[in-house]
Amino acid sequence: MIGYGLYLATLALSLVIYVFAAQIIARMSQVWPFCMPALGGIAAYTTAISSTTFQLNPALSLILGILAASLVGAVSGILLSRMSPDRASIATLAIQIGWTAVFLNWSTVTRGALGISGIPGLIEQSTTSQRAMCSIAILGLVTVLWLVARIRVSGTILASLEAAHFESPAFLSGAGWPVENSRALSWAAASALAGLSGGVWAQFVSFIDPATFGASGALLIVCIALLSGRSALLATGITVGFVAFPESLRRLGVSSASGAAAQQIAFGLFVACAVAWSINRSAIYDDR
Amino acid sequence: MQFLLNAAASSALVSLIGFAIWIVYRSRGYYDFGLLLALVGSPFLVLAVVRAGGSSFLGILVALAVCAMIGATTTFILPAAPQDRKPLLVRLTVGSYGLWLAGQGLLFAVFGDQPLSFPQLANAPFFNIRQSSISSGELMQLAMALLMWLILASLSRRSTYWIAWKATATNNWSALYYGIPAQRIIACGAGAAYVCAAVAGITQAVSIDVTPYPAFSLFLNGAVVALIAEGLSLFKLFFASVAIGSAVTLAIITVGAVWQEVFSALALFAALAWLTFVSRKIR
Repeated sequence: MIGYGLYLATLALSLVIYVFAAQIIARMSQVWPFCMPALGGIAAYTTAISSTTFQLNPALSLILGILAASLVGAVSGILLSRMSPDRASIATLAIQIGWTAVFLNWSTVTRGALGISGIPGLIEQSTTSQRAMCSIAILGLVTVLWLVARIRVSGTILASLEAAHFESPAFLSGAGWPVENSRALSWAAASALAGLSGGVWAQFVSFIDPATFGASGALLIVCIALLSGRSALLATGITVGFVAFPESLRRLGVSSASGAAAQQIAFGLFVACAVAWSINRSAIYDDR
Repeated sequence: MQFLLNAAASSALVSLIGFAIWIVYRSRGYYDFGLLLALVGSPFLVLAVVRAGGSSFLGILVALAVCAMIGATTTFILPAAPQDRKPLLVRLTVGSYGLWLAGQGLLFAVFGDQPLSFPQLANAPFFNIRQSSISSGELMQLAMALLMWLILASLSRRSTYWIAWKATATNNWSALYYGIPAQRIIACGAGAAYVCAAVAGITQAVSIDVTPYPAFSLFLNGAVVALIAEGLSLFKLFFASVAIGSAVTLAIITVGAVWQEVFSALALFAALAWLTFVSRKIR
């Protein structure tokens, strides 16, 4: 039971960091990124391949994975920053689906649908609960640091700069601020966060396959990011609620399969209603 | 000959889903993931009717009617984005994804996630034409796409409904001021889109097993068609469907079916890049 609790905690923290990464991109470049799991997958596969095939140190493999995700994110960001936000958002969905297909079909490297097993944890010869504690420590530390940073930054010039990127990038550009460069940088930073989440998850479960980084997860992350707006705390709350929902149903005697279906139905309706409410609440269609 | 048959069938399927995405994208301003519900859910509705003792034909009629109703209802849940407020595109797209998630969850709860076989609609699974073969499902896709284009061609020439839809798609607020019942027109358009997606789903189910997992590559191809067919021209939509359908067939022959999703993703990316970097400069 403790093991399952640790698993859920790691899953929730991993998802929270993906949502933080999506929020960074959304606020800095007006793009809702549907490719977060793909970036996490790039890091996870790089970590897994370098630590299993090339026998590299697990910590070094994780850093390599994060760098790979960051590089792909930066290149994507440079391309996408030149598109209009709505087109770029849809293009990120294409990136997500394309990368998932690469994970699935480039079987000589990724082992296709079979996945890669036996990925070593950060601590050598560690037990499952030790791996979980290690992952929770890393992901939890990043989450707490991010939450604190968001609170500290609130009301400062950095927050104003971020808001300006979302609300009036043309003004910023006119004032001489390198908007496109800062957007590419935000893509790189957000991709590094997503990469950290993906890499740590791979080392925690010691097995990855393409289904872990599918398009459904990508849409889920954007749903949570969209619902939580710029609030990191709300994002954490919604994510934890989402992960804990089937477990709370299981406690009430609902079977796991029915619980998963109920989770999906409830979350789907919640998203649709929240979007409909947020649009209808105002007579003028204000997206802020 | 075989390539032509495959390309025609692929174009037919792409045109059905492409038209569905296009009509919602143009009139409501977002990519409607709810269409996946019609695409994936319609074969399950047919199965449910057949299991309850009804015929396949009745099942198809019920499925199309239910999908049309769902399509029309979604327009009341998620409003149309005004033409000058593009940022709503992602928000509404995500809202429609929520509807799809809820629908898929319902399918999981009722039918489970195991593949189910679809009732046979034709006596022969394959038909031979000059040493080439075409499956009954593909033949149905061709027939239904042809029917759809004939109806659309007829509508666009003779019906005031089409003119009202174009006015609504161009600017729904102005259309309202001119006395056009914009909400009803948009609901009818969405109903027609969901029927087309349901037809695509049912004809696909003839050849492959029925599962609650959607073919994202097909949705992506439809999105590419909707993007390429800028404006409200049916000719552009038809041309885009044929082009993407043929390109998909060519990609399957040359690089293999397993890379189809990568191809679809690249096609969507290329279409977006073209619209951003080339099309703007031409104008």
